[in-house]
Amino acid sequence: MADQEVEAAIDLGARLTRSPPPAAIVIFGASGDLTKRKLGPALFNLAHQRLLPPETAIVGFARTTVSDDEFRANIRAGIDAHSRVEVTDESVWDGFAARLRYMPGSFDDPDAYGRLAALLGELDATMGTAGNRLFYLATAPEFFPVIAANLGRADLSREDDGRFARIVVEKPFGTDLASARTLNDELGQVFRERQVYRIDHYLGKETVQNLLVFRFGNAIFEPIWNRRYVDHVQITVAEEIGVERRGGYYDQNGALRDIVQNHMMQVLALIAMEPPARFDARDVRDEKVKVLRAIDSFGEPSAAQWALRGQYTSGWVGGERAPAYRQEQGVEPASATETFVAMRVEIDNWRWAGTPFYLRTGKRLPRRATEVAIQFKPAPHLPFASTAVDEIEPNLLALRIQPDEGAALQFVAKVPGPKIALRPVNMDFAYGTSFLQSSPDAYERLLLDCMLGDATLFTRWDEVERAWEITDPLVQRWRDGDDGLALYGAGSWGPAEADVLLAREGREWRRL
Amino acid sequence: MTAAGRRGDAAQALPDVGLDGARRWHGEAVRIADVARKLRELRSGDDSDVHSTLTRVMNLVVWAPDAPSATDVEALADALSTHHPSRAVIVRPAGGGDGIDARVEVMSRPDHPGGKGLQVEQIVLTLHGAVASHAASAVIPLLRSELPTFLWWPGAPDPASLQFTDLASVADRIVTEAGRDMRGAEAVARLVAVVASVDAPVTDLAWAAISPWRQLIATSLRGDALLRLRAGAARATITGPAGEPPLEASLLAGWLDHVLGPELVTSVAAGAGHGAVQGVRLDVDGACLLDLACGDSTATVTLRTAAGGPRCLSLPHPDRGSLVAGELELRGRDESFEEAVAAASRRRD
Repeated sequence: MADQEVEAAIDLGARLTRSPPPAAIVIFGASGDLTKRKLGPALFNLAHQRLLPPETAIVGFARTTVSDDEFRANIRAGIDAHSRVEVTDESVWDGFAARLRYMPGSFDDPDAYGRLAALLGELDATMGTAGNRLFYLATAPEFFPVIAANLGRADLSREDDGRFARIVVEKPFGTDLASARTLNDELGQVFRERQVYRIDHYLGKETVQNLLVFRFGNAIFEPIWNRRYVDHVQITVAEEIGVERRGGYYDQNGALRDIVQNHMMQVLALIAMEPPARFDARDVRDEKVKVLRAIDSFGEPSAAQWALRGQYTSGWVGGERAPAYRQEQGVEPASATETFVAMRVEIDNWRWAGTPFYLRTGKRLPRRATEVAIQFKPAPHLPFASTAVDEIEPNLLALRIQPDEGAALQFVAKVPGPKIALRPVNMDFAYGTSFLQSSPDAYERLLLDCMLGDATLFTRWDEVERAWEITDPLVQRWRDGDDGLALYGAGSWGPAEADVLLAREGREWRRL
Repeated sequence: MTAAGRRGDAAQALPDVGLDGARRWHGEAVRIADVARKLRELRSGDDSDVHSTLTRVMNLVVWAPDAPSATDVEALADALSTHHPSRAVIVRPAGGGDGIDARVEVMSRPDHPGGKGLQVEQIVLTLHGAVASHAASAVIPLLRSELPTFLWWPGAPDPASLQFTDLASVADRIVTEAGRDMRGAEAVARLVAVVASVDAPVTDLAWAAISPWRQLIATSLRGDALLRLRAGAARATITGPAGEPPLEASLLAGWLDHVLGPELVTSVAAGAGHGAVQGVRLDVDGACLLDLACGDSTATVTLRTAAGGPRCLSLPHPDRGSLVAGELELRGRDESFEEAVAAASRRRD
């Protein structure tokens, strides 16, 4: 057998269907919160599941000067606090820690990248990282261009002889359409599109991936997944928390940039897209772009009529007093940044023409909940004389992304008794009680896919650009202060204007 | 205890498993996020050999204004779970600084003999200080979003109070027991105000309690009897205990007013028997058309009509738990109840 066939046979026998090649993973900004809370634990969990080849090295690169041992201790602290898998055997930790190295350096210092190149060469020789590079930019977005440029100058972006060099960038990808294009051009001067992995961590969530499995793995849903049977769709991303320690960052961005342009547009695309021919990066992302192109950008009349923004005032959330947004640390006292967005989107294609998609997101709402609700049309006729048609609640499919991950289908059933009385009941699927294995963290899946070269769960440039094209008019409009900021009490479901948005069409938001 | 002291002394017990198989946890000065997390842990920590299905058909929120009523409603909510498996959140206001104490219980219930167990959940929140007037903020994160939410208020809620309006905002249906706190015109007026103050449908257990009487009257008034009643000078007399009539009697009178028309003259009179409603008599043109009267035993009623001699019929008296269970079967507005309340409020005895 050829080498690849042997490898495949070994993998199959060992039930390793997704085993990546070894690589050196360089985390820029490794002293930051993302590394501690997400990346370190994710890499440890992958190693724990034997999904990270033993030859993989992890290099932290940041401005803080710490030793290798101090870096290892920081990673360990992050694992102890945030990992879904505990360290129960110190020898396992020791084996993982041996792969960790740290290099202090400034992002804009070319010499630092020379030292980095030397270190990576050493790791190729001593650890067997095989010349594969994965550069994770866990930094503020303003550093993306300078890091990419310096990687290019140090010849670290080159791919040859079967070795890969990939760069992973976090959202936000730009702060508006123009800056996103500029950033993409700057990255494009050093890396090809196939080398760029834009993370939207929602795509790494099991429940978001399950949206596609649910739709395209079950034959019964596709025939009704369209304008004939669906009255409308509601997509909600609700957070009970405020801005916490991110006030300074959030005040420069707001809910539209933080949530709508990326996470919500991605979820919308997965819900509305056509079935791909194959579940691979090209076909899936082609379909997402196609459906995003069927959404009109917000123009002058639609922006005023079908999109609104809000900001929370003081109130009570989770049994505790919550201060107003403008009183939060790091927020300007007269800030006009939106913490809430609601909008109506229409998809102009055969499948969805005339079926509205309502999106809402906000901070300091009564509970944390991310959900897609498919509200079906009511039964056209009910033969039950004793119950009027308008008293029957139409069927609803709720896809819970977080928390209480799962899905619920609501339908009516007869109440036991001598007459025909109908009551809605739920058929419920919950991840937590249906599978023994706990769901991996989104970053575990995304890091693994990146090492495998599978970009299905990463956003392609044309998706990002189209999402900006849709939302950028709102960015400009709200930046110029043309639209009022509707205030809402913390602990409420948003401003009254959001209710009016749906009431205009005889609908109302689901109470979660 | 000051608010600062309360918040700083959070004490959380480890979960324990009782002899009844229930998994329990309690904590003092906790955050709601902690309660939600513990609930998830208790649900997923079932290590029994019996596979338990987690079944819920509703969220049940119960207001327990004091310790004795809290004990009562906890027991009732537990009993309700046998046929209305739910996530029950019992809310108790208390003094002593600010903060929340919580007790969480995940229990298994048999659903069929020899069959699998069902898990139901009960959470008791003791709200100290200001949070008691913002109970909804503590309750909402604990509710299952895909289930209807019932609010059971075992008394006469004050529609002007923030405690009531706050919790009423989370409910899809509200069940009150105004007759436990008030009687007569005051109780009726309170119900009118409550119905007008909230968006959710409201019902009262006094209304459910008189269902057997309404059913007996409805089945007895057919054909000619009903025509005579509506055509002639009709009078209805409801017999109850002395003093201000209980809410059951007032609502029954209101219902009769509504269904039999504005010409009906209704009155509530004192009887010598037991029970909130002891008898109903309908006269037309001075002659008795229908007489329902309890005897020494309230479990039966004697029916006399113009058409026939006395017959003894059973008169069920569902207990409090059964009455609540019956109301939890219903979702929409009970227009008959609302009309009966409105008619009762217009009565002048």
